[in-house]
Amino acid sequence: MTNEEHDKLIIERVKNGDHTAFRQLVDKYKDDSLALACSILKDQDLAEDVLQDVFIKIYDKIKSFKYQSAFYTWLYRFVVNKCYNELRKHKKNRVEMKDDMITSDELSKKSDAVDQKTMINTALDLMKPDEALVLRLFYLSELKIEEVVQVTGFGASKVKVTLHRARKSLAETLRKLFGKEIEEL
Amino acid sequence: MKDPIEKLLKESKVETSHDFTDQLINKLDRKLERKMRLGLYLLMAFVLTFFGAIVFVWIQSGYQISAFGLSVAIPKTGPILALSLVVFLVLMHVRNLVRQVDI
Repeated sequence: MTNEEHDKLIIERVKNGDHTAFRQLVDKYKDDSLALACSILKDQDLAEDVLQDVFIKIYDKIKSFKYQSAFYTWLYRFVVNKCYNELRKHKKNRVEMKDDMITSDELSKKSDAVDQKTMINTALDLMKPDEALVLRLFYLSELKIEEVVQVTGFGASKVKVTLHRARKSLAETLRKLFGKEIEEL
Repeated sequence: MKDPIEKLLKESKVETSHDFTDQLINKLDRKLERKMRLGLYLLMAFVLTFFGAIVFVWIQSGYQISAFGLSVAIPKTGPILALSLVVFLVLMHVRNLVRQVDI
């Protein structure tokens, strides 16, 4: 059974009001969705709150889901839209502050983080939301370019350019932050 | 050889807090409960309006019983009070139902 067929079975149960099936669906997609939300919001607590609202909305709207796309692209589209709305709402765009430069203070503070997971997440937090989002959609969630287009609403060429820039930016940020440890990039 | 960026990203997976799903399901239950309560309150409002309309028509037409050649006029306030009592009891019953709702 393919992933999409498996999702379809679960979704049909959710449509019939089965909470256990909904729990299964949430458990399956919550971590990837959180990564996407963190790419945009740069704050895990806020991202979890937003994600809860998204999943409740998904439960409300799931009857209107007609399998015209994969469930995950539909879900991620909700996550991305809600996160960008939240970002606009919270005018204090912390991301813009971090856009182009990393201060030396920040660098030394961040460099204390030693494990690889923290390293990469720190670097992703310092990247532009669009870039971190596209990177995670493509590499972490393993979406195809067309699916990234569907989820983000960007054009295909913008996705490719953003992906290219994001890779360079991530490698550069990692080198700035952790120097020797990441030389092989 | 696997792309180093891809490898790093795979290893960077963030995880939700351990009670994320439980919190979500509780939130969802509360939302559905609120929805159900709203439905019952709407039912209450409908019942109230329905009985209100009946009472209004009754007041307009007056009320009189004729039997064995005798005609007794019943004061309008009598049926109104009786109906008010019925409406009140219905409302109380629905209110209890609303309070007991457990999805």
